[in-house]
Amino acid sequence: MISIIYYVVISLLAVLLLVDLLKKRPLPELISLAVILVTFALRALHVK
Amino acid sequence: MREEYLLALLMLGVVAVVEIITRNHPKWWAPALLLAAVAGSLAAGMGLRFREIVEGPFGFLDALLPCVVGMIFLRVLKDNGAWDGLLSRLLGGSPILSSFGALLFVALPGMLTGFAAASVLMSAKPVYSYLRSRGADKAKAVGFIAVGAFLGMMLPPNCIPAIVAANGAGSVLPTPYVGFFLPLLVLALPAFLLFGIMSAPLFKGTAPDLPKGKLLPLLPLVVVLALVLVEGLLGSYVYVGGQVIIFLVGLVLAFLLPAERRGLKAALDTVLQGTADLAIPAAAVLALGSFIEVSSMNGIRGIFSYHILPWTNGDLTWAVMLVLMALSLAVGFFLSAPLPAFFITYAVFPIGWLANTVIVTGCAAAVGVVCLIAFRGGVFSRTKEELGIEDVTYKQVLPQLLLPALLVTVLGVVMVVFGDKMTGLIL
Repeated sequence: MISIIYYVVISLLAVLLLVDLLKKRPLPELISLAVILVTFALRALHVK
Repeated sequence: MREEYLLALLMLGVVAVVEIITRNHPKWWAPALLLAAVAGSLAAGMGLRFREIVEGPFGFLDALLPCVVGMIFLRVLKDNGAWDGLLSRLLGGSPILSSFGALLFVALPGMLTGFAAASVLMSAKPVYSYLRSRGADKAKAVGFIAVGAFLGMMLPPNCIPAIVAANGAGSVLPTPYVGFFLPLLVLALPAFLLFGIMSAPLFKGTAPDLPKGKLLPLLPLVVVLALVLVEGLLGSYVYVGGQVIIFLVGLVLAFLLPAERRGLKAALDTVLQGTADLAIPAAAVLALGSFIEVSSMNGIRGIFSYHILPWTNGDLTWAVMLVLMALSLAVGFFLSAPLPAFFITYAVFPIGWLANTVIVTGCAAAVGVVCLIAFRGGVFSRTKEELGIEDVTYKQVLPQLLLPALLVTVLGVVMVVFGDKMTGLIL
């Protein structure tokens, strides 16, 4: 159950970050958001 | 010269050049670290190792997840009007009670998210206006907020310097960020109490009438704090699901009990803003993971361990840690460079797998203090930037920062030296 919540939260955050990334922002902010997005998205895909 | 030294020089050089060009602004920390990781990987002849660059941040992911969800929870409280109503509820009748109330108001976001930036973002403006309306000097008000944010970052449950230190303290696998609640409390609470008493004179002027916030919208925060406390102090006996679940419960309650009713689109915008609020510091921590992973891959950490390991037998371990802590503080203060200070303190941790949670907390004190005393790229600059104040100088604020910084440093040193005898703090 906890594991399911963990992956749901990470997946949701990845989606939210993707939406954030689509907004107009300064370059360093975009890079920062992309770093977090890539980490979260890859973790979300790494379901055991 | 061995190849590893050249690689270390290259990677640190890339970070240094980007820092100099960007005047050490935290928003460029993540790009600098990523660039250094890529350069280190290419120069080692290993190509662009996407796996290591991405795998490094995974070490920080589980510890950072509650921080990010915690920030969304706080952002929801802020945007629905509950958060600003909290200040009037925390301020007491006497100057000393008001001082503690305002300090807690600043510290709380840092405590829940582990980032000083969260405290500045959430509480700097209301507290600054309040202090100014009570006649406090501009510099003193900025110093109060900067110290409150620093103490919030160092107080449990979440503390980014301790999360970084814990990650480095592992050998093959990172040490989980567990058991830090009491050590962090012991590290930062004395400074919180001392600074609260010291700042009471700032609250001697006539108190303005603040509108009293409603109590019901604050219930989610009370529930979250109670559960976090139970998890931190009684976690060995009672399982409450972890901080992510706790913040999710708080988030649902915050949506159900807002101070001001808002539409669905506004609520979604708030959640999006919450994910973006800590993007810059959180990305810097994740990028630090890439840097560390690449420096493990190309042998830099190996050569460091080779040199440091002979010193780790016997009583000299703590002495090595203290030297590296001192170096970290010196770099942070004199070069005003929190990021290199992170590296130096991180360098403590290849010997850190011999260290327990209390010792790691002590080492983390050096990184935290650097964030406070750095004149550029630290909590002071972040506070000034948030408030949009140009005419307050670092020199004016420094005396106010020194005592809490010193107290946390001294307690950090005590924890490093006597950590083996303080294992009772690890719950």
